[in-house]
Amino acid sequence: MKNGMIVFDSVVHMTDHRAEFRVHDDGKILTQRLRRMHARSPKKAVPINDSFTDGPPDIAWANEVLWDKSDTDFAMAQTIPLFALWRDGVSPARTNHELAQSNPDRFLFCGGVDPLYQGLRGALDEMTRQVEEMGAVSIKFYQAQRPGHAWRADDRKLAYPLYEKAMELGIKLVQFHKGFPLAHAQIEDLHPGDLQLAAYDFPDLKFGVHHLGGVHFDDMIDVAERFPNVYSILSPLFNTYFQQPRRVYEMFGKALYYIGDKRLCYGTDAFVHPNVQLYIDVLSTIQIPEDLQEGYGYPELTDEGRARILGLNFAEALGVELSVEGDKRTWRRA
Amino acid sequence: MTESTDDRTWQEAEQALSSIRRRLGGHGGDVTIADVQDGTVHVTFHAACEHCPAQALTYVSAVRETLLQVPGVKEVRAPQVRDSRFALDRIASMLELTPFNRPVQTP
Repeated sequence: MKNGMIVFDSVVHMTDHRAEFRVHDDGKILTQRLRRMHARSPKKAVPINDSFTDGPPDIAWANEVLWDKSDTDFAMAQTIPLFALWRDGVSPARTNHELAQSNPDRFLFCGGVDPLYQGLRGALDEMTRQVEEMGAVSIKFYQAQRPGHAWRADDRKLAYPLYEKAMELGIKLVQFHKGFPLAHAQIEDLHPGDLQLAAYDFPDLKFGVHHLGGVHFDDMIDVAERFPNVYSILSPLFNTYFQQPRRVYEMFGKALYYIGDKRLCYGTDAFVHPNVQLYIDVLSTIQIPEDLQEGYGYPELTDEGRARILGLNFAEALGVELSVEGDKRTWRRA
Repeated sequence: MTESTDDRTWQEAEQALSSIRRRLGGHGGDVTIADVQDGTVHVTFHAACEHCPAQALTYVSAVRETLLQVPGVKEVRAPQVRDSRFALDRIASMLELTPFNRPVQTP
């Protein structure tokens, strides 16, 4: 808890960049890009887990990072089904499930499938396995893995059966990596525009967009503003606060203005930066500067909005209830 | 303020809003009263008004100003309008409309 607010980290990963599992050289590009990106962090203020590309995080260490060294109450361990570059994806379902099982009262497991690499039938079967046998409460999609290998979220033959299966399995929220190309994936294949028809055709399903749409930020804002079942996962916005505070104010202010505080969700993409408390501290104190309120009309962040973004919105999107009593944390499907 | 007073205010506010609603309808939008509590009218924008860039202007210059003329209405709230207090104050000031945070009129 942070200042009486429940902290629910919407996305942590058990990433595994090891070469023996890599199936395409583009994986090296992704690993190197991540290393370069994180090398830009001010290391003194934001310590980096230097070994984050060497192998999956140690499970005991991951628990310590979240529960002992930060105010995090709950976290979702998310699969990255990037089968084009790594045999089991760069954050395999198996290892994320292991992490979730290490503290099932506080971790929630998010599965992940891909209808191009597994085939639609394989993806549907794997979704069923991940939900029924592994307890997944959400599913993550990566639509663009390599140049020429991409699928659209509004593809009636390929994508809609995934949503129908998700709803049949009781899933309330499906999630999409958007806007941040991995290795040589094409930027246009990660545009959020394809969520419009999907969100319109599946009004009872919620669609989570990660990374604020990345380079498609403005278009993502427009989509989320108009479709009430589209949620924006903020990670890694606050991770960049220490390098680019002004940019964070501008993006966060714009998201608050157009989307509102009821569909924005806190997340860290841990465990690259193991000090997640930094981001909790940022979000629990950040305010939109008055010159942005004056010049752009961006609203103040209220205490209620802060609590919603730190944890309540994501729980609501997933359809789960969170309970904090003393030192005990539990969650259950609503 | 009693419930019956709020009910009467609600009825009169509905009547006052009817001309505004016709104008908004011309743009494919609409606004309705969601609640009246202790003289504060809560309104909801619909259809084209929901995501219109001119929503704040419509709220301040047309909806709020019209409803503030109704006896018993102290303030008008629109939760969908997320503009900062600076922006709302500026609109009211530039159009010489009722300022926000004005002193409460006691009967």
